[in-house]
Amino acid sequence: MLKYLTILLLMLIGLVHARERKTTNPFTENPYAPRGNSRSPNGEYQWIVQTKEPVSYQLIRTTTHQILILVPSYFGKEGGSFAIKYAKAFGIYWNRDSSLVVLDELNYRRAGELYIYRVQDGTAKPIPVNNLFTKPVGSDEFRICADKGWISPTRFSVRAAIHLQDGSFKSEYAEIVFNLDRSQTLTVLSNDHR
Amino acid sequence: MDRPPIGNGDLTVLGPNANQNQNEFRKFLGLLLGPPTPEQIKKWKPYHVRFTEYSDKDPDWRSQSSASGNWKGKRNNRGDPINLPGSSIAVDFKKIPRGSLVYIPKFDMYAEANDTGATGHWKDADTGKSDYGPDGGGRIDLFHLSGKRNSEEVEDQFNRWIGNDEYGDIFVVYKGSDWKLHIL
Repeated sequence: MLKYLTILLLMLIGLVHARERKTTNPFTENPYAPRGNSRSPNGEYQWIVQTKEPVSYQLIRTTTHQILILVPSYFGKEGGSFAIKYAKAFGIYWNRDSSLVVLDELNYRRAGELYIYRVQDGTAKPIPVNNLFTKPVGSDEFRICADKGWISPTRFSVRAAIHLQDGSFKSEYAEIVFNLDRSQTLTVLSNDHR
Repeated sequence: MDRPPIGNGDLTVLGPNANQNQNEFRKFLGLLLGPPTPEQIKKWKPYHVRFTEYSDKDPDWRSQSSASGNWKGKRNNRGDPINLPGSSIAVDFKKIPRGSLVYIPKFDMYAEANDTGATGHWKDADTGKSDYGPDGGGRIDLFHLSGKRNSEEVEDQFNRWIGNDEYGDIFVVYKGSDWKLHIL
């Protein structure tokens, strides 16, 4: 009996680890595969890629197809004939109650952007992200991209992809913490120990 | 031309050892071998640029595609045209339009502006410098296959190769991608 329980326990641990691996690596075998889930958990909202030029991302209300927000794709101008392919490689990460959503564009040599929106009562308001992070000393390029995604209802895991001036590369990890109280502010917790 | 040969394998220097690629590129485009004549150069628009390099050691470059259709025989397993030293460069498309054909005197190299990078960061870092001035063409990021070298070695050897000055001029032979309609 103990043997079977042990095997069951190991299988469960394996499943948890398998799930963790899947969520910790935003890039699958195919770097152009979309990540996360474009539809909100409550089914009310969905992100789509508008493929007509200029290529953009649109957050729509599923019932009315009303566009709540339109975000120009970085690759609309930069991607050329690959603009649509690159745009479709986006990551959409909804929190559990569909009130916060993160749009993470394809990370193409640190090109592309990460956007956060607060969605409430049929409106979507952008939450500035870039001022939360300081460009590391000695870096030539860096961008913030999604790492594990939502790791709790109020914490979103990100990675700073950094190209240093000496030609080397570095990743720094952090969590964006959403304060859902009256202040509605964001803070960043550094998580560099990995 | 289905499958252009890759350079001679000595990856510590980009220019002379990438000549096979460069020559194939010129043949593919129907260009004469050898440097352009002064008469030709007079017709081309010069830009002041900064030369940097990138390699396949970049962990944030999973696709490793130059998004160019020129090298039809060289595609990765996803069908993307791959970069080749001696012919692949990345530029800031706000400065040099995508698909432009450029000539780089410093390396006696023609290249199509067919790849891009974190151009927003390039602009931020180089604001006030000549490559982002009125006659600036932004950065010209040359693809440099790393082989067994790590990314610091690639950077170091590139810097030694180009000397102390990262800056130089390029000529835009054709602006934008329409030139292909006439040449290919």
